[in-house]
Amino acid sequence: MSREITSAVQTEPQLEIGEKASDTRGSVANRLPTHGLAVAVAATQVLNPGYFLIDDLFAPRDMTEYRDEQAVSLDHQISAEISYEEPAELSPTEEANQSRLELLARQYVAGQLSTEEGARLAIVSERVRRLIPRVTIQDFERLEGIGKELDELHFDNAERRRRIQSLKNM
Amino acid sequence: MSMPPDKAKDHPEKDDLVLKLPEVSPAQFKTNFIKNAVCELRFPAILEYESKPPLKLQSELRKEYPGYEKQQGINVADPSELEVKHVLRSRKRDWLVTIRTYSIAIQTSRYTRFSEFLDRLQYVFDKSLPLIDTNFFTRVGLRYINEILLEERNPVGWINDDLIAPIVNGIYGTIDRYVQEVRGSMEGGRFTFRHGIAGLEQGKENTYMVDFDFFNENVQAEDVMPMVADFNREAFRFFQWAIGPKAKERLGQPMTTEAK
Repeated sequence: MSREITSAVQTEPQLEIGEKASDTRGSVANRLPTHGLAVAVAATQVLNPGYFLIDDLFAPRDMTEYRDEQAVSLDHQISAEISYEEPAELSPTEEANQSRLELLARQYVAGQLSTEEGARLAIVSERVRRLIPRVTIQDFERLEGIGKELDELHFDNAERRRRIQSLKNM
Repeated sequence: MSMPPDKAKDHPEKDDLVLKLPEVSPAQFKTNFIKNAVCELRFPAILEYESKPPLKLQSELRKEYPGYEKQQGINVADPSELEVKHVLRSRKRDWLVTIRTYSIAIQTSRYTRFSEFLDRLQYVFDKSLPLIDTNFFTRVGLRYINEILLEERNPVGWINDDLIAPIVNGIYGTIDRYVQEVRGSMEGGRFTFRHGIAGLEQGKENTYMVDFDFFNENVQAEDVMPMVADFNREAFRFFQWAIGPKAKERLGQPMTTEAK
């Protein structure tokens, strides 16, 4: 999505200041991926390209072609009529993990994430890190046990050395 | 001590780098030119809104916005990109709340005064914040799209001469289309300012559009409402600077001292 413009649902033609087919095409060297604005209409209708609000102007990226969006379906519903079958509840860990996986996959395929997707990835990654720590309390307890065993071995070794030394001195 | 002019050019002071508008007293007029007013809050994306309606959010807002429409947009250049929007409408259908996977916006085509707009925004903000799983916003934007109906397609007198100098000076002759976009920084954010005559193809050959968009990025939740109020003050000053005496005359005498 374009970060430069506050999105407004367009109900009437607005200041249309984008590139037209008849305009001189600009360089595509600086083309950046942007999302256009989905056109919102009050009812299902055939959209006139003139209705598109083009949200970038004159910046280098805007001189390349822009992306138009076209409404392909529009469902009018009264809120009370909406029903949606809720899927089985996920635990916070599962939910965060699932979101993280989906965002990572999206990042891998698309090559990048939007700012908003990146922010969500950061949030769920931190959540996963805290909920599923790489080192658990059990790991620490096991390490502590190993440390105690080592101390005992050191003690036993020292005792053996002391006995060997005393045998040599006899 | 002020710098010599040539030095000042090489080392502009901080005030020279941001938008500088003349001070004006806040005021509210009986009429206005606002065709659309919108405040959009962008947040870390909520993926589930891509596949199912935001039921909890919709339920929270239903009292004020009972109408519902689901809209899907497809990117013509990249059909694999699909954007879903959930639009909630007020009973009179003059206010709408648009929920995307990454944003919530409130918009009206019947703007009367800022206090009402702010109250509506506060309501949506309070209801939605607990449900969007974040305490910060990636972008906060306030936009006013004004339409000034001209007489005989001549903006002279309606718009600040500085904005239409080539037209005032008769450089272009009869014009079919005249648009300009300016982007820059201001105290507390950034702005995009678009103005001009859209042209015959828009069916608005006698309309001069004045479109202000103020925004900032990475905003803590508690800073949103004061920031929007600041944007509104800046928008009012910008608008007062951008219009000419004929437009001011059409606005009439201020009714109150509340901005816009």
